[in-house]
Amino acid sequence: MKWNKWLPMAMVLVLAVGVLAACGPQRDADQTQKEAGKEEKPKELVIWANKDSDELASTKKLAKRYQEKSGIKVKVVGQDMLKMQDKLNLDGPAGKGPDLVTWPHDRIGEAVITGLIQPIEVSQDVVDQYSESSIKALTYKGKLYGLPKVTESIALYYNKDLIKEPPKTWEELVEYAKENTEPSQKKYGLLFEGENFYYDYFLFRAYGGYIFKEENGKFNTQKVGLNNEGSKKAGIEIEELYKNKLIPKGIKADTVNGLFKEGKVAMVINGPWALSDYRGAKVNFGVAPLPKINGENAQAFIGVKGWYLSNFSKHKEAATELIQFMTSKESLKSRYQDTGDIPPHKDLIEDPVIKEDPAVKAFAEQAGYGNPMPNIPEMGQVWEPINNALAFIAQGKQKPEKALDDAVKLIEEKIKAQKQ
Amino acid sequence: MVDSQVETASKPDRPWGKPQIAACLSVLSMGLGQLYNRQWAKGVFFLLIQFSYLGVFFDFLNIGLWGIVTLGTIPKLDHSILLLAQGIISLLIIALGLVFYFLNIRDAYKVGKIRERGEEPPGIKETYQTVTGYGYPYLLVAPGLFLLIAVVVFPLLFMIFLAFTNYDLYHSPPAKLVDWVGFDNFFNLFRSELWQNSFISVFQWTVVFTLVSTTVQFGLGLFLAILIHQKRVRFKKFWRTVLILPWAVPAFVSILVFTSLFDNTFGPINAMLTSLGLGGVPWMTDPFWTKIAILLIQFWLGFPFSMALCTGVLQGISSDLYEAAEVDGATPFQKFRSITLPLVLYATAPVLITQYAFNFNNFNIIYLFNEGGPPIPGSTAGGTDILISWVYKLTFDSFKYNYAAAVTIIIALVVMSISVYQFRRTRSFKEEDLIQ
Repeated sequence: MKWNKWLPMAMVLVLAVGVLAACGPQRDADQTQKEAGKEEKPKELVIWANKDSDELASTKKLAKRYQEKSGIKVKVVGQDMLKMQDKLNLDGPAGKGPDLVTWPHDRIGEAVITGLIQPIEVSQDVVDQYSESSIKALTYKGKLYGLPKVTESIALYYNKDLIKEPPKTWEELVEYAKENTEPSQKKYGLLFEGENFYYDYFLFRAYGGYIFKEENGKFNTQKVGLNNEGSKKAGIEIEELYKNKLIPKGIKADTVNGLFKEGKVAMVINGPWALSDYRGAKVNFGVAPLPKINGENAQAFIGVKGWYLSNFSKHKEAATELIQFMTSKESLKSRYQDTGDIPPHKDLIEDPVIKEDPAVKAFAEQAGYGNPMPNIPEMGQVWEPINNALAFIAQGKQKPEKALDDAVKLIEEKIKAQKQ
Repeated sequence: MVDSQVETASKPDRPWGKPQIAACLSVLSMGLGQLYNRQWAKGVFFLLIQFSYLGVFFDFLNIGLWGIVTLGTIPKLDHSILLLAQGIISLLIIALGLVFYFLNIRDAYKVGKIRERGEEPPGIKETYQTVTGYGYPYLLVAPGLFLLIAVVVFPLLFMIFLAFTNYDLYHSPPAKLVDWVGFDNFFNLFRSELWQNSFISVFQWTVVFTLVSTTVQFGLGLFLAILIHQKRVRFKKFWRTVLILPWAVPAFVSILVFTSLFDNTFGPINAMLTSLGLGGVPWMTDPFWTKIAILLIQFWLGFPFSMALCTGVLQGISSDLYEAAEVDGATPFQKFRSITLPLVLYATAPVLITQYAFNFNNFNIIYLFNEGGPPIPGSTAGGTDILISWVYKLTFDSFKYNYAAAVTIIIALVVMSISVYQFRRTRSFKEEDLIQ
């Protein structure tokens, strides 16, 4: 009588199916639609700020000022800036998210695609206060997602004991390096991390290279320009630096910093993050914008950080006001005094506080010439192939032409796979 | 509440005896069979358990099951990944419920059998004693089991489920919903040019790295353990302490230090080689030499553990064996081959296999030393990338979480099947009385 044993089993199955059939939440699709209309003045706005102590303190100070001014309570929560997106992804839909968030601008594309931030609506006068490059950095597919608070660019550090005035043009700089480099004594005229595209970008730009073709304010990721005429010329320029042994193969920023601090190097290309390190090492140094190249100002990569409007904010208008307050001239000035972050505010760059610090002035000036790193997620597919190509060029494993062609092919394949 | 009434035994040819009826009633609802068996307290208790289970979990399971099937239906409102997680937790809770449910049916059937034989079913006191007596070990294991489910089973299931979705940057909540795509990820992986172009070379190096590094680090450990174990060696504790040190320093710190030691231009190793007149070696830029450097570092990182392990085993080998061998006129090599090696291998085989599996996925050393580099022209993989580091590069900058999960499953299957095969072949799990 085997069926006797199976009968209970069959009944279990019937029950299970019965349970499954009646499941799912009860709801109307309409309930997602936001109610249009005037929004009320909120009681509280929440900011997720970088948890770095100076920055957090400065942000809290500004939040307090805004509270006094407007009567809206502003709560500042310190977060790891690079993990903010992951956290917002979970906390936002759960209704625990903030109104304002911040992270480096090159991650804006991802945030827009995953629906974490929304465009802001501000008047043109407000936008015009900031440098064009910084506004471009915060614009994705023609829409502005926030206002900038910090901008970063590389510039030329020079050791005043070895060279009084930095050369005015790139060509002179290379000549100087040729005469003043003696690898056997660890003596160098110019050092930088030449196998890293971040530092080499200005060379590509100088001769007409580009990453993605820009069409109507959008990047066309089908058209990669890293193996066009200009890019190849930049490749040859980089090859020459290594061939003439001006820069040792495989050198990384750490080693560059170490040698500069020992006083072995006349000039290095680096960002403002190295300032305190160099000051601590008691090097007598100055900072200048990158020399003119091919007759024009060097266009290096810039990085921008701004305040963005969370897509889960229930007080869009009030939050936009807060963004404007946080990036106003007075606020950014106070922030600069607390953290040393260079603001992309046009009036502020002319302000005595910044003008009187030659190092900051050089970085601010260079940032004004720069191009923001593309903020689209496809940029993530560019770094490794192009850096590898630069390494092959530096080590003489491949000629620039071949290396760049290979890199572009790989970039195109990777972008295709990403969208697959 | 003891069932005192003894019924007459039913006829053997009747298909619906007490066990069957009791089991079927228990299927309808937990506890009904027990009530039928006249175990009142147990029956009521089971009924209560069932209703509280349904009462507490019904809404959660409802959304969870719906969520894992549909992964949400309205973008921005439904968060597919959270629904997937809730769905998996629901499945685990249901599995737990089913275990009790089947135990309840089995219990009803068994007690029914007892009653059919005309015996009295166990009363409440007896039942309590049985449960506390037999169940005590399970009760002690239970917290560990729940922890295991939460920190091991749940993430594993989550990863396995992800491999069958299209979860990447462009299908990412809250803006978009994630969908089930079946085996598409696995097919697309092998169709993609990016993967085809370097899979074979990466796989080869992974196997070579695993075999060479594990075998040598074990051999070196064994050799040093035997050396220190010799009677003539003095300051045994000192040697052991010194040799265990590489293990005491966190591996990632050591690896980063090695990275600067092996630097092509400014590293002390090349400086030493140059002053000896040998010339610098391109440790960081030539794939061959980077591989050598990585193997050397892995030997250094890995041997102390094997040495500690072998030392323990060596100390457990009875000296009688060696004395007997000496009487028979065995050479030191013969003693090693016929006594030491088999006994050590016998005791350490399971650990050795796990070490092979560990090195197969030894992401730390590959990534921290040179990020899988140096790069190879025309390849997506660096010269020293092993499968796991290569997958990391290919999936994480491009946010292909689905591919990452799919490849992880493939790697896990390879490692698991080899490990299981090896485990089954080693004698360690068969003859348990070789070492007493």
